[in-house]
Amino acid sequence: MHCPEINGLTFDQSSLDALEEIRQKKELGNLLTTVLAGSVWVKIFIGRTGLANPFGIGWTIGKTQWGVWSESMMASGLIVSKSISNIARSQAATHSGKEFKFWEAMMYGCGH
Amino acid sequence: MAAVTKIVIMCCLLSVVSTSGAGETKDDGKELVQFAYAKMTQALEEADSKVGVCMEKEKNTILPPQVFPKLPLSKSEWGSALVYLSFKAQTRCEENSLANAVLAFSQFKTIEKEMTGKNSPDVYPAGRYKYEFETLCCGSLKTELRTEMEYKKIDPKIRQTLESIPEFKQPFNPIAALKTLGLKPSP
Repeated sequence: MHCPEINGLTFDQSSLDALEEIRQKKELGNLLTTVLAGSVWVKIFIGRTGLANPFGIGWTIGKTQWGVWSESMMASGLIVSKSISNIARSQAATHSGKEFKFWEAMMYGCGH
Repeated sequence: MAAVTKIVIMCCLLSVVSTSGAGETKDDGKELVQFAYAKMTQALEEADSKVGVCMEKEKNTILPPQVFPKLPLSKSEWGSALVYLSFKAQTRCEENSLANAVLAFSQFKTIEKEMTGKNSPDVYPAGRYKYEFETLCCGSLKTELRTEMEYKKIDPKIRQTLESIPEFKQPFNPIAALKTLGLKPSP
């Protein structure tokens, strides 16, 4: 699938819980300090106030960020990717709008 | 003096016999640990490979509209059902390879502790990637349990109908399925 450009993305409690379930993976922790360091993903996973970024507007996730995410998934191994895909599909099934786009792109990655 | 020496030697021999158990030696122990490690590596490589193949199948399998029966399900029930059935299909496709990897990992940790007295903290399940035990065993456990709980609230007769559909027993893309049903926006 193509990588969606998502502007003004905010998360509801269910999405925040799912992000937390993903964040708890130690393998992701290692990636946040290496492949993902300095990216919007660190802010999303570690910031976790999640509802909006510090400027009070939603997150913006563009092609570059999705590219970094795909790269990190490849580095983490298929079993980690599968776990994240399982969490993402469940969220995609229950959301609409920007959150749906976000979780759908998280499900199998995008741009490849 | 000679008697004391004999007693000391006897004690030493007894000690060696008792610590090595039923014919075990230190070298045996090392070999067992190495063998368990090799088995774990193999199980993990197999699981990794199966998971990759099944994910690819799932991603690319977009079920046609005629597969979906007309059922009195709400949008969220369809969501729970298709996500749950996709998890089940995934596990079936992986042929218990992940469960085997978890078992091999547990066996390695057990034998390592039994033979060396401790578990080395820096030994992960081996393979191309350093997976954590929790990821191998329960990578999306909360999500899977929640989905199953929701699915089990659906009328058993409807569940039976869904579970009898052959296409749902093979990996399929559940979000694409929801799009086909018109329950999610298509691009």
